[in-house]
Amino acid sequence: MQSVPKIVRQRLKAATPASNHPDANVLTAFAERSLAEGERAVVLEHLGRCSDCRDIVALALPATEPVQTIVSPSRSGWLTWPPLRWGLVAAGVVAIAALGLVQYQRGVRSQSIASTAPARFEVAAKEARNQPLAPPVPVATAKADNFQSPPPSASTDSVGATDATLNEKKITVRAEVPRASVPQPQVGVGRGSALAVGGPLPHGPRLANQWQQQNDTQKQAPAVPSPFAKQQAAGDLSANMRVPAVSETVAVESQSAQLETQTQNLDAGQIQDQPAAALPSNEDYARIGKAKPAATTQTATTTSPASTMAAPIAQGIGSGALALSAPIPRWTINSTGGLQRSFDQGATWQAVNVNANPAYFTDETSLQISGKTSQPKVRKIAPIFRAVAATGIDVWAGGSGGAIYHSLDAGDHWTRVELASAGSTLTGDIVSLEFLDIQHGKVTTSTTEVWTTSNSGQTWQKQ
Amino acid sequence: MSSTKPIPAVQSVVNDVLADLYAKGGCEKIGLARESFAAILCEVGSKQATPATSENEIRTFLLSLRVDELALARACAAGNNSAWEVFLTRYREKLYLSALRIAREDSAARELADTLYADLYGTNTRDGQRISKLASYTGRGSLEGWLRTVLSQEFVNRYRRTKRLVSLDEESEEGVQFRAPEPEPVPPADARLAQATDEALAVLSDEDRMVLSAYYLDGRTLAEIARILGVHESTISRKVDKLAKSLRKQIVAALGRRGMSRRQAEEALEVDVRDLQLDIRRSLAQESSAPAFSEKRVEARVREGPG
Repeated sequence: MQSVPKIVRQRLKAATPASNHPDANVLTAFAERSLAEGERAVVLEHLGRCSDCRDIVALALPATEPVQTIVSPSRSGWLTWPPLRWGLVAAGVVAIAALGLVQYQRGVRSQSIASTAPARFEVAAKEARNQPLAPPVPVATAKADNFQSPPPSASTDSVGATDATLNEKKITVRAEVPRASVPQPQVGVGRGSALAVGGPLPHGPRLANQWQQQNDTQKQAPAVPSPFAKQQAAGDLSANMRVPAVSETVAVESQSAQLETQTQNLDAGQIQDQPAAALPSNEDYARIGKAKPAATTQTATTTSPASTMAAPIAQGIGSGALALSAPIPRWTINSTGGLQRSFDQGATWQAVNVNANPAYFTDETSLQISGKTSQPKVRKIAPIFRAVAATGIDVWAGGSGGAIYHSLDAGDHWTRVELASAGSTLTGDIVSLEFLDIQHGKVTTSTTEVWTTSNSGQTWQKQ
Repeated sequence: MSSTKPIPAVQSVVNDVLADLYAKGGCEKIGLARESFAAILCEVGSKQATPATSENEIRTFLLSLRVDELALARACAAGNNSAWEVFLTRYREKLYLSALRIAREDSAARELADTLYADLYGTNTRDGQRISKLASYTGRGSLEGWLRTVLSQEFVNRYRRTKRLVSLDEESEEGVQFRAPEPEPVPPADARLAQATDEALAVLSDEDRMVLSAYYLDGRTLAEIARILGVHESTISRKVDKLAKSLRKQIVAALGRRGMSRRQAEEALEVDVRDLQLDIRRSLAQESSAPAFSEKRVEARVREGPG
């Protein structure tokens, strides 16, 4: 940067001292560029001569302009890395292509051996018909089934897998039972679940040992309906079944202990806890304010709960889990009643739109938590907030029209809450929110109503 | 309440726009009466307007005010508890954060913020009436920005006051009493140089002068100056460069008009006799046990700016 001679600095300093300092209102308007041109020139002339006023204007600058962006939908942190994202897409495409190839080859082979084993087919079909309702097929197993009858030269590498946890170096499947063809396998990556498959699992042949276990344990566990079983029970096999190759022996080799565990728990219709796809309990749902999926879908044939749950719910859980390890933001309300948060101790602030990511994704979903009947609504207009209270990542915000919003993940997702108790509903604007901890809170309204909760907002009492 | 006499034109415009502004300001919700709000608008308008100001200009001015914040501030100043609750909810945290950013030290920031809170709440009284600083807010800028400006004013006043009141003990500890006697009188800088410089500075625009002063006298960064003026940092960088070059040219030209040759003029700009004097003093002071310069002098030197 070009320097100026010292004489210039000296003469600048020796300029006639300024008088008539502008008041705080004028200096503020100057800093916010809301002064008329003439008035601005007067202030500039003064600032050219008055170091005190220059200091004041400089000190009064806001820390940083708040980032005027809506909070984007929460995703797994690693998925936001573009190369990894595109890599996953590419892997998905490869997997789909590979499955298509396998299907084609299977079809070709089946046609060639169909005439040689009709008896086996009939026996297998009869067996299948007599089987009780089949429990869910573990993802890994189903995936292994997908690889049934691979071409002799095929390797797992060529087939590919989107499931990172399988790590199968060599996959072969033993099949002497009828198999169902893969209807339309959809391979994708489920969020929050290492074994998630983004769609209905393909139906595939079962391992011999699985059938055996099924027969043995069918008395122990209630039968779980599944599309696969229904299909079999209906006897509609001819369209879907393929006769396995007589000489084909395929064995599953898995290096994951989870597969073993899953195999054993088939009939229980339960899946062992997987690294990232634990089935939430009722309490978990209540806590995160989400409706528990219907029982049928929850225990369907899928082996990956995350794949059968509504993806957004899984996303919410995943994001909630991620939020637990995320930094805890500070909260504030700006002069226009907008909600803002800061992850850097107030250096920068982000506007938070409570309507951008509602925790509920369908209007039909209702919250069935005892004592609190709330119908979540997806509203378009953000309220004018007046109060915010946060305990870690548990955040409550309240404002005009009795609007109260609750977030369990530091503001990534919000639920609109309407307080009601004994036939009475909250009226007025929220002027104060106090939460001593996650459980105990108090809301005060402009109509001097006071509502309290001692169970994280599940029920409220009007004082 | 201010004792500014309302201008008739202002009163007339206020009557026209009162209904709209009263609704826009949410005055009813915070318990501010219509008549009180009208009086506030008259006061603010009268401060700004002159007898020569047209009604249109007054109307434009009043409509540009942040009436919701003005209503809130004045309701707080009047002692309205619900308004004060809203004010605290919105601004308490921000006030402390701003004070921390200004004072850069926690205890000083707290003291600064607490002092302002007391002034805003109105702990001082005059003629038995509570005086709140919020009564001086006119809605021309945002309330948040106004609070920051008031904090900065308080901080600057305090700092200036503290700087002037340096104790004698502190002076002696810094070795003032051991300062070497002044050497023989320094010949004054060439008066033509000062005149030429003044001539060159006089033709600068107000903004250019302000930029130069902020950069070279206050030591402000280009980014800070850019934010003050609402332009990009690169704009200020180019401006400072351009100004420095053009000033040099103009001073040389002015010295030429005063009888100096170009070489003499450039030499006069590059070498200041007083700089030579300071160098001698510095080298002499290195031999003494007392520190050559106090922290304050070093700070003043640094504040002269770069270059």
